[in-house]
Amino acid sequence: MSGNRDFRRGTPESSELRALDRELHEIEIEERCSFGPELRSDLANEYQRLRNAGPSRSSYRRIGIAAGVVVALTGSALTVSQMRDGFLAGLGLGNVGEAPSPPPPERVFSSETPAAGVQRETPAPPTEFADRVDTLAVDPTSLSAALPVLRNRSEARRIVAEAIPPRLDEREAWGKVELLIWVNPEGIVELPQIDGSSGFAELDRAALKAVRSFEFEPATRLGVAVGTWVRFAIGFQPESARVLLDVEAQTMPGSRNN
Amino acid sequence: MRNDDIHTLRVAGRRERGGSAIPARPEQGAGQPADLPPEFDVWFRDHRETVYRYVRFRVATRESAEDITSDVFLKALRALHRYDPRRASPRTWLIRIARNAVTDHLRALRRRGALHVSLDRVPDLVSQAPSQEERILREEQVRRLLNAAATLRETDQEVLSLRYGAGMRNAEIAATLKTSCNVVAVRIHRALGRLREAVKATER
Repeated sequence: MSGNRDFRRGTPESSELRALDRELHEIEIEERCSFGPELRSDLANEYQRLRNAGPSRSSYRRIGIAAGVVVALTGSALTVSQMRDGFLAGLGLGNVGEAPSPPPPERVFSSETPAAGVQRETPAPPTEFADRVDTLAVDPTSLSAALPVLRNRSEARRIVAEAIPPRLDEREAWGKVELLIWVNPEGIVELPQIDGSSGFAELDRAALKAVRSFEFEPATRLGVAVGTWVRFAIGFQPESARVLLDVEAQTMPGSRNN
Repeated sequence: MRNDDIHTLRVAGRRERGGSAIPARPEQGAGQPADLPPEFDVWFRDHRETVYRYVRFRVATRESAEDITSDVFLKALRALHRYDPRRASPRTWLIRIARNAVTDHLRALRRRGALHVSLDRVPDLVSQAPSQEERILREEQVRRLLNAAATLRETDQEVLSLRYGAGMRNAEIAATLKTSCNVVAVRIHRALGRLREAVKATER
């Protein structure tokens, strides 16, 4: 061992240190047998998750910077969508649908389908938070913006199931609670409030309680995590003792981006 | 006791240290599906034990060491695109991540006032010495040594963990700590001196 050369030979101190050095080297550490395979499996799952999540934030940042350069060069006369189309055409991608934007939040269940042709209006954010929205909200039409995505849907379902009032089905109290929440840059839910009541105060309270525990991948703009308002609906439907969760992550564009 | 639960620390004969010298475990052979980036898979196979041993040397329980090691590799996987081979070898890079993870862990424990966990309470300390009597004796020696090491200042613990836990050479430790080999040699020497004093103090 090269370490023995580090101690001056011939002194009582050196022999003591050499003995200590040897003793420390003789401590062998071994892992639990199943630790390696377990960890490797976790890593494989994480890698799969990263791959499914699409391009990394740095990719979005690079695209965002490129888009910013294009904006600067072409002036402000073009609309965002025109610029996006032009930029993608310039890259030879052509179809806007192929742009590397994150997938929209998956829709699992909707207890309420809007009539065809009816454009559902996005409700205005509460006036007391108007300043925050103005400065931080994400414009979903922006090329480099990503919407918040619920991190763990099964966990969210479990949270909702736990929050559901007892004996709900016997009372035939079910419905859909629409919520307005602020998802901060860490993906944590803040300022939850009822945006559309289910008609049952217990359900509304349960939804408010549940949504506080949800975790999101935060919205990003130019690759940077930002806070944003999200409209979110939780549907309570007693159906074979199951609770279905309706997720409608939808950003509230700020006035600056409109 | 299940086989899985058996030991992370044991007294044994000398073994060759160093990342490349660690043999791959059978379950991590070439038959694994390609579900990790190939280069990361190699790093995992070659350096997992090094990272684990380093972490285990610095924290009091096997469970903490496993949690931190998992955290290290998950962080490395997420930051793989930021790895620059010109700046550090994979082993050095992983150990740097491990150092930060251990520091965070110890800081969290300190905040909770639970930093000094006696190794006497750790149930995973066993020995493979030939006789029962010798095994008990050597386990006691290891306990005494590691308990004394736990009383050293953090910089001493760190350099001793890199040397005797991770089994790194002075040059590798120097690269990890971003200092020179001479400085590392001096620090190890002084840390051993302080460890010797600490061991003597526990014997009094």
